[in-house]
Amino acid sequence: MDPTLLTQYVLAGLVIGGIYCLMAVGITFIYSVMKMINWAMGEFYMIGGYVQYVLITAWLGPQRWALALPLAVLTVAALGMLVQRLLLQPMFAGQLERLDEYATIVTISLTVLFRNLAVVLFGPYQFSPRDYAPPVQLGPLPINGSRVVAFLGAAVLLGLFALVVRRTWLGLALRSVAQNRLGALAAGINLSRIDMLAFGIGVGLAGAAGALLAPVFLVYPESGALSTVKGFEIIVIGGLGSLPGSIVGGFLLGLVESLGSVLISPSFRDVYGFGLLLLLLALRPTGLWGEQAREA
Amino acid sequence: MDDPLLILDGLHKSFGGVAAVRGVSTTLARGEIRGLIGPNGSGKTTLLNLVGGQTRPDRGWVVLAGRSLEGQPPDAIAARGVARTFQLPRVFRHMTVLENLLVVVCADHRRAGWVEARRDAEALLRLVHLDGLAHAEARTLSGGQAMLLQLARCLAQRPLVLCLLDEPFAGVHPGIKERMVQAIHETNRAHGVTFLVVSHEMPTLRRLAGRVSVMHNGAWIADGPLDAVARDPRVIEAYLGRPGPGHGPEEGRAPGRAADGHSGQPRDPA
Repeated sequence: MDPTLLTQYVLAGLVIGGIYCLMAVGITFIYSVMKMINWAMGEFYMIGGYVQYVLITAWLGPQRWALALPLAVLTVAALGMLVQRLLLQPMFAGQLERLDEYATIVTISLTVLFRNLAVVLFGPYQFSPRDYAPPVQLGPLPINGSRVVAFLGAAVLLGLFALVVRRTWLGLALRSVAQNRLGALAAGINLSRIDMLAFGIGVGLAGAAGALLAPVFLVYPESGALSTVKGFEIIVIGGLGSLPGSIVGGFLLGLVESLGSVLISPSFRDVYGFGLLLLLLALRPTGLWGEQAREA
Repeated sequence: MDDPLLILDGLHKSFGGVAAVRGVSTTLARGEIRGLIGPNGSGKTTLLNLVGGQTRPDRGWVVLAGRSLEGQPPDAIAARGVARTFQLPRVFRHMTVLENLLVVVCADHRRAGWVEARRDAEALLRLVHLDGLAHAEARTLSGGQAMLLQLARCLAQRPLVLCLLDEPFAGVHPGIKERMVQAIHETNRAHGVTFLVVSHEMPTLRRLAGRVSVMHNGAWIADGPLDAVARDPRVIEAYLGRPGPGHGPEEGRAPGRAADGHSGQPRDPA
C-alpha cells in the first residue's frame, strides 16, 4: 500500500473525526448535566446546516461564510434553550432528576417535527453551499478546503468549550450540577438555568458541526439521522458520560471509517464504526472511559 | 435581635399515607445552636428538607427573618442564607476540595471575584484543617473528610444565616469530629450564624447545643437543655418504647404523659 495514500486517508479520518467529536461531546455534555439523552441531536445538526446555508445564500453571501458560522451556532443554541425551556423543563417540574423516558419521548418526537418542518420549509431537496476554501496542499497531499475549515472550526470550538468548562464560573457550576444535582441545588445553584444553558451549549455544538460540514455533506431534512447514530457510536466507544472518551472515540471512529474505506471497501463506510463498536463492547463493555455504574 | 430567626408554624408533611412531620411549630433564636434528636424515622431529615426547600410542606409555614419561604426553590432559599448538609455527603467527587468550596460562589446571587472567593475558600479550608488536601479530588477523601468538606461548603455560602446539618458526625473519626465542632463554634461566634444540628451523638451535642429538641413519629415532643430533655419521660419512651409492667414507678408515669401529647398513636409496625 502506498504510504502517501495511507497518510492521506489517516489525515482525512482525523479531520472528519474532529467533527464527530463535536457531536459526541454535545451528547455527552447534555447527558452529564441533565442525565438525559437528547435523541434529536442530529436534527440540531441538520438545522445548523440549513441556517448556515440560508445565511450564506440569502443574506451574507458566499464569501462571508466565516461570519455565518458563529451566527448559525448561536441560532441553534438559542433554539435549543427555547426547546429546553418550553418542552423539557415543564415535564420535570418538582423533580430533581430527569426522567429518561420523558426525555426520550420528547426528543424523538422532536426529530420527527424538525425533519418535517425542514421538508415544509425547504422541500425534500439537497442543498450545498460553495466550498469554504480552495483545496489545501498538505505536503504532497491535497485536502478539501471545507474539510480543513471544518476541522479547524471544530478544534477551536472544542478548545473554547474546554476553556469554559475548566476555567470559568459557569464551567464550575456546570460541573457541579453534572456531579451532584442535589448538592449543587443546596449550594444555591439554579438548576433550571444551568440545564437550559447546558442544553443550549450541547445542541450548539451539534449545530456547529452541521454548519461546518454544510459544504462537505449536503444539507437536507434527513441529514441528521446518520450523525446522531455516529454520535451514539462514539459515546458507547468512549464511555457514556466521559468527555475525554468522546474526543478519543470521535477520532477513532473517523480513522476506522477512513481506513476501512481504503483498505476494505468504501461502500461500507458507515459499517466499520459498528464493527469497532461491537468489538469494543465485547472487550470492554463500559467503553474506554465509561463509568462502571451510574452513581445514585 | 429579639425576633426569632426561624419560625416553623404548623408544618405538616405526608408521604403517601405516612405523616413524616405532623404539626411542628417552633422558633430558633438568632445565633442559637440547636440540637435535634429523635429515633430513626421520626421526621428529622424531612423537617430539614422542609426548611431547606428540598420538600414542600402540605400545610404550615417556614418564616426566615420575618419573611416566608413558601414556594421558594432550594436555590432561592440558599440565596436567603440557608445552607445545609446531607446524611450522605453530597460533595462533587470529580472536583478538587478547593473547587468544591468555590462552587457556592457560582450561585446566581453572589458574584465575587476569583481572588476574593479563593481567599475565602482557603481560609475555610484552614479552619477545618483541610488545606493540605486543597488540590486532591474529593473522591479520594475518606468518609469523614467528605463530611467535613460538606460542612465547609455549607459554611462557605454567603450570605449565611442558618446552617441545617443532617447527622454531620455520624461515622466520623473523633479527630475530624473535633474539627467540625470547632468550625461550628467559630462560625457561630464570629458571624452569629444559627445552627440546627440533627445528631445522635449526645456527647458532641452537649458541647455544641444550648438547647435540644426531640422529634418522635413526626411530632415535636420536647425542647430544652440536653440533660433535662434526656430525663423527660416522653423522650425516654420515644427512644426505648412504652415501658412494660415490670418498670419502676418513675417510668410508669410515662404512658399517661404521652397520651396527652401527640405521640399517643399506636406504633406503626411499618
